[in-house]
Amino acid sequence: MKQGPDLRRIEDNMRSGTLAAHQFLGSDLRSLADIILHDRLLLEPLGLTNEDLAERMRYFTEQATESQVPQVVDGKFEVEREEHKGSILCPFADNFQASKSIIRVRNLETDKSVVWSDLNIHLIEEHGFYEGYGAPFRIDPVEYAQVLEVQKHK
Amino acid sequence: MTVLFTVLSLSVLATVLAGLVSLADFRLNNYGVCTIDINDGARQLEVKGGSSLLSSLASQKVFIPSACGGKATCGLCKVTMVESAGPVLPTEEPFISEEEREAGVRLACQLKVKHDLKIKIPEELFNIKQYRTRVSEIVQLTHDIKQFRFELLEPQTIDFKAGQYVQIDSKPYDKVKEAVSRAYSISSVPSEKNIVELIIRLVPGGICTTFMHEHVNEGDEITFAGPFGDFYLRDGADELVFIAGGSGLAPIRSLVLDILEKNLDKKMKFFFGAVRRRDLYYVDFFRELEEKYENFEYIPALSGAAPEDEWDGETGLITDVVARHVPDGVNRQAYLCGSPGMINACVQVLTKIGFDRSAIFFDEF
Amino acid sequence: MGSAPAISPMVIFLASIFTSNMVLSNFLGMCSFISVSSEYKTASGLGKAVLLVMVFTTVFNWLIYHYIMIPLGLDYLRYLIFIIVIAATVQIIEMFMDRYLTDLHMKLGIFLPLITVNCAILGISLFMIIRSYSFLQTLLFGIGSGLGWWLAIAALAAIREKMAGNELPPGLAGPAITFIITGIMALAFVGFSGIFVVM
Repeated sequence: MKQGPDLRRIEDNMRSGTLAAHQFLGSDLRSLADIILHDRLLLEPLGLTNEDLAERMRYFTEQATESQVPQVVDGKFEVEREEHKGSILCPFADNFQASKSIIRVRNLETDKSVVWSDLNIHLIEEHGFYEGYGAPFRIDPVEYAQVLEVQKHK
Repeated sequence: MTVLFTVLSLSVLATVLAGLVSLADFRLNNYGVCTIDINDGARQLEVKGGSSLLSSLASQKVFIPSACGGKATCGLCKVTMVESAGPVLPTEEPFISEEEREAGVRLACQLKVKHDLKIKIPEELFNIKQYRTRVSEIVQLTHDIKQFRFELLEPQTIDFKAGQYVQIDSKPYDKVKEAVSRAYSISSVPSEKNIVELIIRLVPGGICTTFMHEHVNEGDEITFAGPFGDFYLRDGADELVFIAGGSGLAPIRSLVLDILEKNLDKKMKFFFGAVRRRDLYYVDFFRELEEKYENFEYIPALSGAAPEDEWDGETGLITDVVARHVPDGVNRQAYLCGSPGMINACVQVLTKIGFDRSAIFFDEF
Repeated sequence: MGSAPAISPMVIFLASIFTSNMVLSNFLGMCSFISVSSEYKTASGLGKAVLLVMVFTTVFNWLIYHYIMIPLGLDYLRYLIFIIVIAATVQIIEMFMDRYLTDLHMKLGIFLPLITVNCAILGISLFMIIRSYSFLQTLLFGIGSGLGWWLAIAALAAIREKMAGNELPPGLAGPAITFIITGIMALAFVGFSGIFVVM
């Protein structure tokens, strides 16, 4: 599907691999617009929106305190944070900088784990972008929604 | 016969049109030589028009900071246009505020040099040079932190203030097709003018840290530009509080050694926050400094010490440890270097203790 | 080719905006119409660029057709020649804008390569030949068609933006609902048909 020149420019920047090593598009050959659209369509059968997922991720991010030691939240999630110096720029050129915090959440009931960085929350919330297949920080909307037990917001 | 005529006429037409496009390209995209006047005549550069201001300046060895390679994503390459060079472009809009727009601030990577320009840049940028160096030593400090020592080849000496940083140019490797440049604080002391030491922590997915940790060996040649940065010692206090975490120790080490060398008679407390014992490094180095100099105190703290760490030092969040040891902000300054989370938390605690916000300094990146 | 029809250029102008709208009545130029219409600002920018290109290319193509192709008997090559002329014209327009109209270039220029393959551009050049328009008729036809395309995509983008927050039945988001909206808009424009005669 054709995409406007704004997204085209951002996609080219992402593919050049100079913004962050973590290859936002991984090995995905689809256009940026297609990736965003398809991921949103993946969430729809669950009745969830990008905002719902981002809110839940933000909740866990806040629960993971700066002590950077794993702790249990709500009795069934183990949450851990790793922090790094510096900030990472949002590739959508909107002047947003995220800290390099990496959050790991393990669902103690299903023993499944998911990982994300602070930037992911912004990308999902503001741009509906979950990163391409093969990207190291790709968020699979359905998997994360299940592991984190995301609820629809009223 | 018709086939021949068709092919011929099509070819002629296509050639004529291609010729017209080339002519237009030549006439319209040729901007000739343009003069760039910097800081009211302090420097005058002659460059070939048509490229971005950022690359035109770099070609003349004037380096404007940039972290995204000129792709209008980092917003670091701001310069002030003394005379307007046209309206602000859509790609620049997210990065330039209203006041900046009025003042004529532009992103150097988006502005194309089409005619003579008059610009203003901070004085310190003139001191920035491109250095060709050789890696003379790599030391593994912790499981994910390495120290690199660079011998300067050309130019052979560097002039910097303790606390400043350099921008290292990585080289393409694996899936990374282009070179990038990333900032790292200098951990060596300014009096050692012909070497530079950097402390680099491996960030998962980080282009340059992965490059430095996994693809650089002793003997390799590396280029970097510098020195950059507003993080250096200011006058105004007799007591200094240093707080760092992870690789943030680098500029603090440079600052502390520099102050001790110059006999500046300041009382210093250095708080270093880590999670487990394996994240600590330079512990003996700073303990020795503590014994040698009564003006310097070293307080490492672990927030998640495990029993096998056998840690008998301070524990808890670094902000709590600082609150226990620093009574107020009277005649004190604080210098912070670490993750944005740590910095925010420390700024809050320090202002609560009584520090003036203007007496707290930290690295912006 | 017959002689030019006896229709006032003004009628052609108005008709090409409303009753024979390029995209809503003739269904030309659909791909960028569907995909670049999610944001009003972008869509409007694209519309303006399409207008610019339509005017220049119809004029150039008319001149080349009547002064080079007919005398040399090359009428059968019109598809090829028109496309080549369109590509070259777009390139030159882009360079000209970059040099002399920089802020306009920054806003519209990025769309220009996208427009070269817009079938509406080739479409109107071919239409003016089929309908044997005179130079003045062609000029106004080009301007009108451009304005009509711009009007259509701007309206679509406005509708889509207004609908952006709404919940849609699964599967309808994106191109699907856009086609439905376009169809309804086209139905509305059918109401105009027959008001003007264009050929």
